[in-house]
Amino acid sequence: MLNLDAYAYSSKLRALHPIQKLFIAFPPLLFGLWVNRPSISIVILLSMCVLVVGFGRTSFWVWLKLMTLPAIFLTLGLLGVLVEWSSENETFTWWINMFGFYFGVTPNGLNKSFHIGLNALAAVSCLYFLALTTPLGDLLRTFYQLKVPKLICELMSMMYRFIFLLIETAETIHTAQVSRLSNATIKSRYRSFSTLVFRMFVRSHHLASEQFTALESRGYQGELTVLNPTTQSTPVLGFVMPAVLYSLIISVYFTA
Amino acid sequence: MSSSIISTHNLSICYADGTTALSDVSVEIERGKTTAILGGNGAGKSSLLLTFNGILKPSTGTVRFNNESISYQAKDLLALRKQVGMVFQSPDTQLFSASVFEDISFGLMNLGLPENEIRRRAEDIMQKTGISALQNKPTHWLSFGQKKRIAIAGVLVMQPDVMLLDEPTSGLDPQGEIEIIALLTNLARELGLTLIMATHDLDLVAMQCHNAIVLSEGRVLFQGTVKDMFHQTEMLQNAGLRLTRIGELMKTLETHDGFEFQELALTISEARKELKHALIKIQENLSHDE
Ligand SMILES: Nc1ncnc2c1ncn2[C@@H]1O[C@H](COP(=O)(O)OP(=O)(O)OP(=O)(O)O)[C@@H](O)[C@H]1O
Ligand SMILES: [Mg+2]
Repeated sequence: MLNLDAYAYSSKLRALHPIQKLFIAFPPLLFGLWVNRPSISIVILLSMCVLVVGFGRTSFWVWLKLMTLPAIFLTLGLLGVLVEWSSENETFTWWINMFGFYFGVTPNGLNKSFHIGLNALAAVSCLYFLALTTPLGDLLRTFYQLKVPKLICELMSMMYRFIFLLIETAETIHTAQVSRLSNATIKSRYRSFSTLVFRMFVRSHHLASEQFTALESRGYQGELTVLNPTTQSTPVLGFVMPAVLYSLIISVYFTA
Repeated sequence: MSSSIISTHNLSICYADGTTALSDVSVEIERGKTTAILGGNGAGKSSLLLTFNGILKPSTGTVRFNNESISYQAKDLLALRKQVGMVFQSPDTQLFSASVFEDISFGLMNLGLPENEIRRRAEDIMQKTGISALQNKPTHWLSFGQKKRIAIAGVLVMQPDVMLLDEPTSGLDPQGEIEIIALLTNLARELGLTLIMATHDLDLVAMQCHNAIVLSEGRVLFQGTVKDMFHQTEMLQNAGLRLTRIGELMKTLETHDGFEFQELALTISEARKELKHALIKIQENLSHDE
């Protein structure tokens, strides 16, 4: 998640309004899942690749690497759909014989898992489009505009800010421990881990109270009122993209 | 109008765990001047700063702002903090938003200013503090010094009368240190801003501060002008402080190498003057001998 944000910041599509990007990501995702057709899935997959790599200028290899991550999980999951077993072997294209049973792959099963796999990948590519073009901060700001309750927005944005600090603190404490040979034995490893967790609580508490003081000295009155960095524009490209995308998907839907 | 903008009277601070951070502190801060608060680690510098904008409430004694005792009612505190801004030692405690602009706008929103005024002031301060280029980066990717600048900008932008700075130069590179301090002192001169900084940087004190308060274990060892402070050798030693590097050099030249100086020089420019003077004298003596 942390690295995704880094790519999102440097994406050329960052300039689009987050809501425009929501309109690019979610309708195809839902439509793809609903029709569940390989041709549609392929169109979605390719379009998202073109959008992220071609327009967003994210490196193709980054995109591919990110896509292989869910693909690995998917393959493992699909093995359950793909491999069937039976006491006869006439329906199988490939099989092996084990414990008097035949384990194998049928054309039907192959077809089915291919559908599911492609469909899932297409859905993932839509979410990646959002993750690779929209920094979380931008998205959070949109939530404010969409009238998501203030408390939730503030909590989310505080979490977003402090998760990094927490990780940094944990890393610092961990490094300090390791450099004093805390991982020499299993026992000392457990002990140093429990200290780490404890220290994290203490530090977080301390940071929270200091932060509150700092906010107070800038006139905090119970609400984190801030101004948007820029009045976010809605570039024409952000309207053209979903329009082209929708028409592409629909035309494939009716021709195939 | 009195010349002191903030003063404390027999102030003591006890933390909840029983630590006495300050005891019987009576100091005065001169209006429009830059005051340094000096002392070793744990001397009570940060604690003293926190009493100045009403974050720490005295256990005994009073704090006065513009000759009026600070009221600890929520409404009055808000008004006080509009006038007395505080920059914290670690920028991570101060920056709460992942966006630079959002963070800077926070104080201004609390002042209830109109949107275009906020944007104008924020742009202006980002320019002045040299952070405009960082605007599109989330704060967690910035370096310590960059975060420090943002923290300072976030307070400066509120245009307070007094600025409290807890170790403003720690973590800045030499260039950044000079820039930030120059910015602060220029603004101070322009706007009649009163600066109060807790610091360990004696060169900074010698160059930029008018007055100094020296603390040790929660007590005031000295208050007065910076010049006077550097003359009290014994007191400095007790507080764990020393002269500036230049000052030490000049003192060594005087005691070990027979130089004769008129005044104790603490900064490069003062030392140049003294050395020139001493050299001319030596030359005069030589030509006299001939
Ligand atoms: N929240 C707290 N609770 C209890 N004791 C505290 C707290 N904050 C500070 N102290 C204690 O009060 C004393 C003064 O601390 P303070 O932070 O004012 O020192 P300082 O001069 O700023 O030191 P440094 O140069 O290290 O920043 C120290 O003994 C410290 O341990
Ligand atoms: Mg301190």
